[in-house]
Amino acid sequence: MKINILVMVLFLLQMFVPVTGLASTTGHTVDIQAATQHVSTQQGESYDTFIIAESPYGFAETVKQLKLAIVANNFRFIREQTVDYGFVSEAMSSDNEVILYFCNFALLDEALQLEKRVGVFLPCRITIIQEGDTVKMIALNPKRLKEALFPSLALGRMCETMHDVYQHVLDEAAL
Amino acid sequence: MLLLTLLVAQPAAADEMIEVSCTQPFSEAMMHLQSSITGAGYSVSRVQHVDMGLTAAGYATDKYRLVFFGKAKDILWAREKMPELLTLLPLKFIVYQDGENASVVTLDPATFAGIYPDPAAEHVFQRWSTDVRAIVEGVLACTE
Repeated sequence: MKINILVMVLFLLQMFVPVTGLASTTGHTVDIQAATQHVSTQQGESYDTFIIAESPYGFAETVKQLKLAIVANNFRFIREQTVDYGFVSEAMSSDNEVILYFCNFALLDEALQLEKRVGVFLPCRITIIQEGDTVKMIALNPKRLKEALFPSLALGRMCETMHDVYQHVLDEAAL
Repeated sequence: MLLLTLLVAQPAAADEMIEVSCTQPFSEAMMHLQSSITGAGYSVSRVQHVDMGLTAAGYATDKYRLVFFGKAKDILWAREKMPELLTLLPLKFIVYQDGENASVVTLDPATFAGIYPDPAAEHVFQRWSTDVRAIVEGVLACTE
């Protein structure tokens, strides 16, 4: 009887405690499932649309840490700009969303040899968004883009590489 | 007579890319594209010279530019409704020298629904798609 009750409790816990979609990023657990679109494909493969990490730092420090992580991963930092740059006046611009652009020219050269239209992925970017007290770092998942939009382009390995780069950069920036 | 070809039969990514190839000089293609973007009610926020970065880093390349464009209202909409979509903005064209031709390419925004299947966003993706096609047609019209 006691065992039956225990099994029932465990079953109910399993129903109400999400055990998938949680990704641990250097000790900071982020509910990726809640913030991403996870789409199954006919092939059975499926990746999250976004790679998201929650920063343990404030907004400015997060930007700083990301820049350091970008360089530490052998990428060149290109520029920082607000998301609304060029569309609203400076006075109206929001500092709560910033894009960091970066590039590795060796990888870019290699990608362009494979596929000229790879530019639709360019440049590498991470978007930092302040939501209340939370600072999120978000990148589009190259694996998902490849899977959903360019299944036949010769960019498979490149997308794997870039996925790992984004993950490493976000992990390091959240240390 | 200029030979203009709308490429819609690329087997690899026919439905995802909107691509135009034309024989006009690269600089004119750039000019017509930017003019067509503003004509469609969008703003060009930046032109990135990818080729210059590559050349400076020691890699030989033909002309290759990114043209970022968008509308303030779309940024504000995404900010308020779906902040993750800010990662898709601003929209962009790539323009590159392809032999004698200049190619103008962009991802069809309608395909964003494939990676972000939210009904509330779908009509926005469709509008972007319609506008992007109008911009590309504008590039062709400028050169005829």
